[in-house]
Amino acid sequence: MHKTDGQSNTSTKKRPPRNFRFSSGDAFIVGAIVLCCAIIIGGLFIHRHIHKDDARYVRITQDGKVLLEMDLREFSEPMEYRIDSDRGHMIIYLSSEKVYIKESSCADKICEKEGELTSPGDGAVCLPNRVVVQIVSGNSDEGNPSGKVDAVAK
Amino acid sequence: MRSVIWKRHNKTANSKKQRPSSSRPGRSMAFFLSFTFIFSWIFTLSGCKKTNEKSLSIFACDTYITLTCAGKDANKAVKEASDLLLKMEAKFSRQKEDSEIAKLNSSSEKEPVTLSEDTYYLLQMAKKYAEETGGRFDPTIAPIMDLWGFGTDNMHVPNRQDIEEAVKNVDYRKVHLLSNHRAYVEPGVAVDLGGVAKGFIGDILMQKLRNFNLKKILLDLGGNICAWTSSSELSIGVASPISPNSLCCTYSLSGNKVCTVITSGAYERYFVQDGVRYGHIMDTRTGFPSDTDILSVTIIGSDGARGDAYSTALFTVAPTDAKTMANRMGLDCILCMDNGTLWVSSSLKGKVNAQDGWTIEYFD
Repeated sequence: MHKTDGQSNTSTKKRPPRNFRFSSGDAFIVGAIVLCCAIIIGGLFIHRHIHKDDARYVRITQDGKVLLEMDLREFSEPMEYRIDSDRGHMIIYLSSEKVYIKESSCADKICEKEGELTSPGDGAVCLPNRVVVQIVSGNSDEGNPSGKVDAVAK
Repeated sequence: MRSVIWKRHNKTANSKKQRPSSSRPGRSMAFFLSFTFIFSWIFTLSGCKKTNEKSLSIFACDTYITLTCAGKDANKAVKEASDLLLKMEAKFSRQKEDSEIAKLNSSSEKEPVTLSEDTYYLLQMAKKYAEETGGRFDPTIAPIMDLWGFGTDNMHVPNRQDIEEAVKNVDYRKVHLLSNHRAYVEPGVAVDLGGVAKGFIGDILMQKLRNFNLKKILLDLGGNICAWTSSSELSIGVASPISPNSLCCTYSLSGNKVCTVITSGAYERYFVQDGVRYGHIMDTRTGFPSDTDILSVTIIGSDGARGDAYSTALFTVAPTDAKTMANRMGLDCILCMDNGTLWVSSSLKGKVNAQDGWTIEYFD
């Protein structure tokens, strides 16, 4: 008897009164914290967004080794990059707008057929020369071709 | 009795003590709300954090291969997968002199070769697919490919007589599988597993990788995609056969299911002679490159080897026959036509999204 009485007693004491209200101070604390969070998160999103749009890099590799990695913005005027190896030669056109394989010593010319590479995810592979030319973005989404899909079946 | 009273006393004392620290319940409510808010943000942010992802690209199997794994075991998984890949390539590649397939091609009835379990099984599969497709897919196409010079620096239209002669030896029934993993080919017959090996290797790699603690597996074997993810959706694009570096449609794949997306088309490997375009997928009956209104065939399913073989077969038949064949075999496929239509199996309804310039027509 005593026991149950006691418990019900304490629980009524602990329960907060029903009609409480925020004081202006409470509202200020909540508001300030929410605002801080919003600013931080907003800043992060804007930061990411800016980087997403801007940084496009061209990466040229041969047999897995990186030959060239450059921000496209650095090409103030177009240039041609030449690769000579015992497998053959290639000429790659590079500009701030686009990249393409201009000439390749390979027989099938699949790499030349890839055409202009402009957005992150675009790429051209030359199997005989073992050369891969890719456009990658500076942020973490670089793996996604065209930024839309996870992989491309072809 | 005593203890109960003591407890009671203690409790009231406690609640009295707590009171002054938060004199108004509104304030504790305010703190509670703000902390909930902060924590929910922290969780959202931690969701953005990338899990351990490892990607490795290599030139193998006469193509460019990228293996990607995400999860705790990613580094180890990718390493072991690439080792296994190179081992299998060494067995299956016809171009490598000491490969099992090269040895098979120089075998005879009197001198059969003993193959490893993998190679023997793959040959069995290849013969089965050839039979099921009525020889439209045929692993003995090698002599024709050699005549046309595909895979070499010298692609050209061969002499018609040579083709007629060589096409007689394109017959999967001339590959004989004996007991104890032994096999031989009849004179003039040569096996090339190019149309099925990449699909098969994808299947084996996927099987191995599923034993690791991973969240995502994405294998790109020269355009053959094998994918698996523990939860989230993946989106796989199908390359447009008309304009390079663009897509004709995308396929969304749901979580926790192994899925292979395999495309056959002659829009990349081809050559032009005297204004005529010759693709690398041969009609096994004529020995000439297949030329129909189908630009590419994509097969979606859990079995990569089967998808690889059937996509080749469907590519070489007339479009209406391709539909019938797909239905008969229960294949989920996307036929990309030269008029901008995508013929899609109705079983794929709701999972395929056409890109600009392409329209979907379902069939069953």
